[in-house]
Parts: sequence; structure tokens; C-alpha cells
Amino acid sequence: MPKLLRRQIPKALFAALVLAAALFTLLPFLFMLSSSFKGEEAIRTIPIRWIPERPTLEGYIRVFNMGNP
Amino acid sequence: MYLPNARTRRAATAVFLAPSLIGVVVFCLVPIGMSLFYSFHDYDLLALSMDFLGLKNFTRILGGREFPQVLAHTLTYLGLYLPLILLTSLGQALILNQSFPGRGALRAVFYTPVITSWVAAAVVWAWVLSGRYGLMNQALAALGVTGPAWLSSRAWAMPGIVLTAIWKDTGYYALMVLAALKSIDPSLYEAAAIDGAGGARRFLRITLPLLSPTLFLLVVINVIYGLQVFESVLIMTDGGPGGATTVFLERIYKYAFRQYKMGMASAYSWILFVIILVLTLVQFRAQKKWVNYDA
Repeated sequence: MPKLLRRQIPKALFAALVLAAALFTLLPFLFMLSSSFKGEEAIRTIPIRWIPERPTLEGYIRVFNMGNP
Repeated sequence: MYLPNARTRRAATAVFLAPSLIGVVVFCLVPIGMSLFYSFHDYDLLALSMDFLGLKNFTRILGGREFPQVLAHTLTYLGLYLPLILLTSLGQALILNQSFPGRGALRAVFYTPVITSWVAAAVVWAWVLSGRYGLMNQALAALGVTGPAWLSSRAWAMPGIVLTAIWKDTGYYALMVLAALKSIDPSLYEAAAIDGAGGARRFLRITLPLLSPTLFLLVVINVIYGLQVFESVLIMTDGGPGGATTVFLERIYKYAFRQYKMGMASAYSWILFVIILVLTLVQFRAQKKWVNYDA
């Protein structure tokens, strides 16, 4: 194996590991953020759409109005 | 403060001790004593009656069909959670101990789940682990694996809860491991490298032994917290499906605040206390075999 490759492979494996760990940690938050701008039905699309097709503030409005008559 | 008189000195000491002492007595010792008292009684919050039962609450729990299952579920959680949390927090700390671009941002990312509320985390993860729409199964499908129904499956509900707890807790324990890694003297690694020790040997002979006090601490507190798993279970499965994830604190909570049987709940709490006490004592005995305090 060339010397350059022997140095690069562990580096690439490390980067892949870091990326996997970061994605595992972050994706639930991104899912939370993305879903917060979706309507009830849009949450259930398969495969998941990270940018909502029809973004809505409905959820936020409902949260702020909770408990109001 | 200079007080020449012994009596005023004693009075001053008492006054200064009083605030924390009153707190400990009123909010810790008295409730602990009362729960022991209740555990020997049939204390029903609704009937407001209290009859002395002796050890009947304990024999009812220990002799019942529910207890072996609750114990098995709790130990399953602990058995999955403990090795995983040790591996992930060690791995995360080793990653953060390297220097690479973006390390600061990654530290923030890894710690974010720790400062998230358990309720929010559990609600979102219930979605992530949903069998049909869930992010987890979509990710697994992309890798060519058909994911289980997680929280609605008897076999996979507990692993799902463990996975969520790993996601939530790793950052916290990784911080403790990272602190221990930073306190290892770099000259040890230099000396070992000069003596021709490779990366794996340096990890096994220097890093792991010097981390062992921290790893011991992680094992002890995670056994204690693991046996007290609660929020995740209550929100994600509520003990289900079909009682497949009933655990100690979930039972205690339900006896106390759904059925108002305070005596049963107190007895259950004391049984859990004894289990935790025994396991912790065993661990302190066993630490001589593997924990290294030399450095």
C-alpha cells in the first residue's frame, strides 16, 4: 500500500465515525425543527421531507394560544 | 467572628448549622422515615385509612407474579444500557480528545441532548422510533435493514428506550471521561512510545488503567440511575406494550399516584433501595480487582 494511502485511510475512517456520531446526535433535533413547521398530515410522509412542502406556523400559533378561551 | 465565651460559640454554631440541618431533617430524613412507616401499613390515600399490616406489603410484592417481571425488565434495561453507555461515552471522549477542525462545534453538538428535557426527548424519540414513519426505520431501510416496530413490539420496546437514553446521556458521561483523559500525564505516552509501545498497547496499558477510577464511578452511578429508569419509560411506552417494559419506578409511581396505594409504593421503594444498596456494596468490594488509584 502506498504510504500516502496508509496515512489517509485511518483519517477517513475517523472522519466517518465523527460524522456518524454527529448525525445520530443531531438528526432528532433537525427532525423536531422540521416537524414544527409541518401540518399534522405532513409529519407522516415517507420518505421524510426535511424542508416542509407547505411550511406552516400552525403549531406555534396553537402553542401560544393554549389555555386562551 | 470572635466569640470568647464557649456557650455563645456553641449557640452561634447551632444557628449557622440550622438552615441546612432543618432542610435535611424536614425534606429528607422525615420523609424517608415516614415511607418506612407507610411500608408496614395499608395506607390508602382515597380511603384515608391506615391499618398495620406488618410485612404483608413486602410478601405481597415479593410473592406476586409481577415482581420477577419488573426485576427482569429493569435488569434488561441496565444490562443493555450500562455496557453501551460506557462504550459510547468512552468513544465520544476519545474523539473529543483528538484535535481536528470543528472540534468546538462537535463538543456543543454532543452535549445538546444532555440539556434537553427528558419529556421533549422522549416525545421526539417516540416519533423517531415509530415503526412506519420513524426516522430510525427510514435510516435503517436506507442501509437495507427492515427495522422493528420498536415501541409497539414486546421485544424491541426496551432496546428503543435504551437507545434514547444512550442518545440523551452520552454527552454527560463523555465530559467526565474527557476530564480524566486530559489529566493523564502526556510524558507517560512519550515514554511508552520511546519504549516501542504501539497505539493499542498504549491505550490498554496507560489510558484504560488511568481511566479506571472514572469508569468505576460511571459504573456505580449508572447502576444506581439505571435501576431508577423512569421518565423515558413513562412517556415512551407507559410500561407497555402489554406490560413488556414495566420497571421499578414506573410501578412505584403507579401504585402511589394512579392507585393511591401509598403503603405498596413505599414497600416497593424500600425493596428497590435494598437492591441498589447490595449492588453498590458488591461493586465497592469488587473495585480492588480492577480500579487503579496509583497515578
